[in-house]
Amino acid sequence: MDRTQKIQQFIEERFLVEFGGEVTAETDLFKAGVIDSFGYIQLMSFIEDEFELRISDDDLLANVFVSLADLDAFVASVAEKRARAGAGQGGVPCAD
Amino acid sequence: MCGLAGFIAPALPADDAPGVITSMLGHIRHRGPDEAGYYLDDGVTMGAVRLSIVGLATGAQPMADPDERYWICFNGELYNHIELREELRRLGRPFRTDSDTEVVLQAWIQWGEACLPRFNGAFALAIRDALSGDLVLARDRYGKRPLFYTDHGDAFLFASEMKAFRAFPGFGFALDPRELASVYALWTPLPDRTPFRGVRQLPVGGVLTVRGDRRSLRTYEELRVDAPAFTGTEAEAAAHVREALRASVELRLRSDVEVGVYLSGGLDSSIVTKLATDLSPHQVRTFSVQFEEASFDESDSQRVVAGHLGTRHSAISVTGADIAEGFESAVYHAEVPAFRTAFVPMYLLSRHVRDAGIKTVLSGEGADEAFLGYSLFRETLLRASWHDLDEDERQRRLAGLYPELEHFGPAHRKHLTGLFRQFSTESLPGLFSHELRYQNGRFAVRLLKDRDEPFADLLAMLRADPGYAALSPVQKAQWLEYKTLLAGYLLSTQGERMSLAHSVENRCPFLDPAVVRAAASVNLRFDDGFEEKAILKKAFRGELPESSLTRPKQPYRAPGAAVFKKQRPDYLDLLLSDAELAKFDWVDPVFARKLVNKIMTTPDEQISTKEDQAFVYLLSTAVLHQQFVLDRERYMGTPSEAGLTLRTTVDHRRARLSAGGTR
Repeated sequence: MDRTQKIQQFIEERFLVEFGGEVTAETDLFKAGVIDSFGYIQLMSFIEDEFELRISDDDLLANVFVSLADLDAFVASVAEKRARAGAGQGGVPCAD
Repeated sequence: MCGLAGFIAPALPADDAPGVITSMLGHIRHRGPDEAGYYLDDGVTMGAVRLSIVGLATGAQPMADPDERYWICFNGELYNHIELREELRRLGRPFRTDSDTEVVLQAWIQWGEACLPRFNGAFALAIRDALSGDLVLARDRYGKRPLFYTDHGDAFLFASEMKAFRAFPGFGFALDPRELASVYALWTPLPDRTPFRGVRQLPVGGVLTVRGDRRSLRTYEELRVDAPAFTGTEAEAAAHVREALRASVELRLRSDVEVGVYLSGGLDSSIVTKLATDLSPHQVRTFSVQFEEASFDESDSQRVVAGHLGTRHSAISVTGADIAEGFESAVYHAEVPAFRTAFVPMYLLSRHVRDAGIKTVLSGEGADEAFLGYSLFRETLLRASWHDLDEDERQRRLAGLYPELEHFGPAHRKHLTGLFRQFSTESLPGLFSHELRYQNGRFAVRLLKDRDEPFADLLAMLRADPGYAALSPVQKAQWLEYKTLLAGYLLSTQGERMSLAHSVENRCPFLDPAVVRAAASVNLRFDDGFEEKAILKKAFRGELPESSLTRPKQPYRAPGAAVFKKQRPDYLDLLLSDAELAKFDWVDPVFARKLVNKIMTTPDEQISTKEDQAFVYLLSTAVLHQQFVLDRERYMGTPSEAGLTLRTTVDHRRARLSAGGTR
C-alpha cells in the first residue's frame, strides 16, 4: 500500500467517508464535516506515527492540512527532503 | 397556567368542535393537570389546561373581560403582575380576580400590542377579540414558553406542544429533511421552525395576528445583547449585578405554592439557591441529578452548596439503564431530535420533584449566555484576536479553553494551534463564532439523504436582522446562543418540556430583562473574558462556598451512545435492523449504517463527540418518526398520569348548526 493509500484508508475508516464521490482528495475535510478538532488530533498523530516524522511549528505555519492532497504532499515533501539529505536510514516508510 | 390549544376550522362540523378541543387539550394535560377549559365562538375554538400557581381559586381559563369581548388563554407566569395591576387600576381597568391572567388581559385591552414589552415573565398567549374577529398569539422574549402553529387544509391550528395537533381530524406529521439538516447542523431548529413539514413555532418576542385569511407576524421586542457601558467601579458593577439578580429572584418567588430550586452544583444554580434562601420565609428545598459515572457526577459540589446554604436537599441517582428506559418518553415530550441525552435525566428529575409535592422550581438557565460563561465565548475572543497575539499568548489562552477535553491538553497543543489558525478568519458570513461547532454539525447532516446547504436559512435570518451585522464577534456569539441553543434546546428540550412533562413549572432568574441588561453593561469592562463569569463571581464572593467560585465550569452532560450500546433497548432495533433503517425516507442508509456499526463495535473512548451526537440525533429522530409520523403508541413511552378536569366551557356560537360548518 502506498503513502497516499495509507492516508486515505485511515481517513476513510476513521471518519466514515469514501473518497471518490462527494469527497475528493482536494476536499476541505473540515468544511465537509468529515473531521473535527478531535479527529484532527487523531489524524496528525497518525501522520507522525505512521511516517515517523514530527510536524514542526514551522510546518504548521507553512502548510494547511485540511485535505488528503495537502497531507499527502506534506509527507511526500518530508520524504524528499530526507532523501536529498542523503539519509540512508530513517526515510519515510511506505513512501514510494 | 401551563398549556393552550385551539383552531380556526370553518369546515369542521360544529358538533365536533368541543370533542376536538377536548382531545387536543388531553394530549397536553401533563402541562396543567389542575383544571381545563375551552371557549368556542363562530370563528375560534380555544382552550387551556391549567397548573394553578397564582390565583389558585380564581384563575380559571379561558377568561374574559366583563363585556366578554376579549377572551384569553394564557400559558405561563407574569412576574410583575402586581405592579402592572396597580398601574392598570389607576387607569381605571376593572379587576375581578387575583390572577396574573386577568392582568395580561386588561393590559392587552388598555395598551394593545404595546403591553407585551412591559411583561416580565415566561408566557405564551392566545387572545380572541370577538368583536373584531382577530386572534392574536404571542410569546415571551426569550422563548421560555412554546407556541406552535400550522395549517391543515383551510384550518389553522395552534398549541403549546405539537402533539396536540394529533387530535385534529385528518392531521398528520411528516419530517421535513430541510429542517432536519438545519437541526443537525445547528443543534436546534431555527427560531420559527420545527422538524415537521409545515409546522412553525412563534419566534421569541413574536406576535401573530390572524384575521380571516390574513396573517401578520411581527417582533414586538428585538433581542438586545448590547447595552450602554456601566460607568462605575468594578465593585459597583458587581453590586449592580447582585441587586439585579436579587430583585429577579424575589419576583420569581411570587407564588401561591412553594417554590423549589434545581441545584446542579455549578455557580449559576448556587447563586439562585443563595438568593432564594435569603428571600424565602421557610427552608428552601433543592433538587439535583447525580450520576453513577464519576465523570458526569457533580454530587459533591451539590452537597457542599446545599450544606453551606442549609437547604433541604434531595437528589435522584441516574444510571445508564434509567436513561435508556426514559428516552422514549423524554423524546415524546421534547418533540424534536436531540444531540445529547442530558435532557432525559431532567425528565426523571421533574418526576421526583412532582412526587415531592413541588410545582414550581427556579433554575440557572441563561447565566452562561448573559455573563459569557461558555468556552465558546473565550474561543471566539481568542480566534478573533489570533493575529494580534504572539505565539506564547495563543498557547496560554488555548490551554484554558476546554480543560474538560483531553485533546485540548498539552500533548496536542501544537496541532491545535494549527487547527485554530485555520479558523481565525471568517468563512461563513456572520457565523465566525460558531464555525468550528457548525463544521462539526455538518457531520450529522451526512445522515440525511437530502442535504443541501444546511446554513442557508440561518444566514438568511442573520441578513434580515437589522442590528446583527454591527455586533462584535462575541455579541454575535451571544445572539446566536440566545436564538438557537438557549431557546431551541436548553429552555425547551432540556428545560420546559421536561419539567412540564411532570407538571412542574420552571422559572429562570437569569432571564430577567434587567439581569440581561446588567450583564451586557458590565461584560468585558473589567476583565478580558478569559476568566469565566469573573464579575458574577465577584458579586457573590463570600456568600458561596469557595469551591463554587473557583472550580472550572463543568458542562452538564450525561452518557450518550454508550448507554444504548450497553442497555440494548428494544427501540435500538430501529437502527440495528437494515429493514427498519430503510423505512426512514430521510436517511442516507449507507452513512447511517457505517455510523451505527462504528458506534456498536468501537470502544467508547474512541468515539468522538460528533459521532456520539450524530448517533443520538439518529436514534431520537427514528423514535420521533415512530411517535409522530407513524403514530405508534408503543414508542411513546410512559403515558402521563395527569387527568383532564374540564371546569370551564363557554359556547358563544350563534350560528351553530347541527351539521356542517359554523360559517
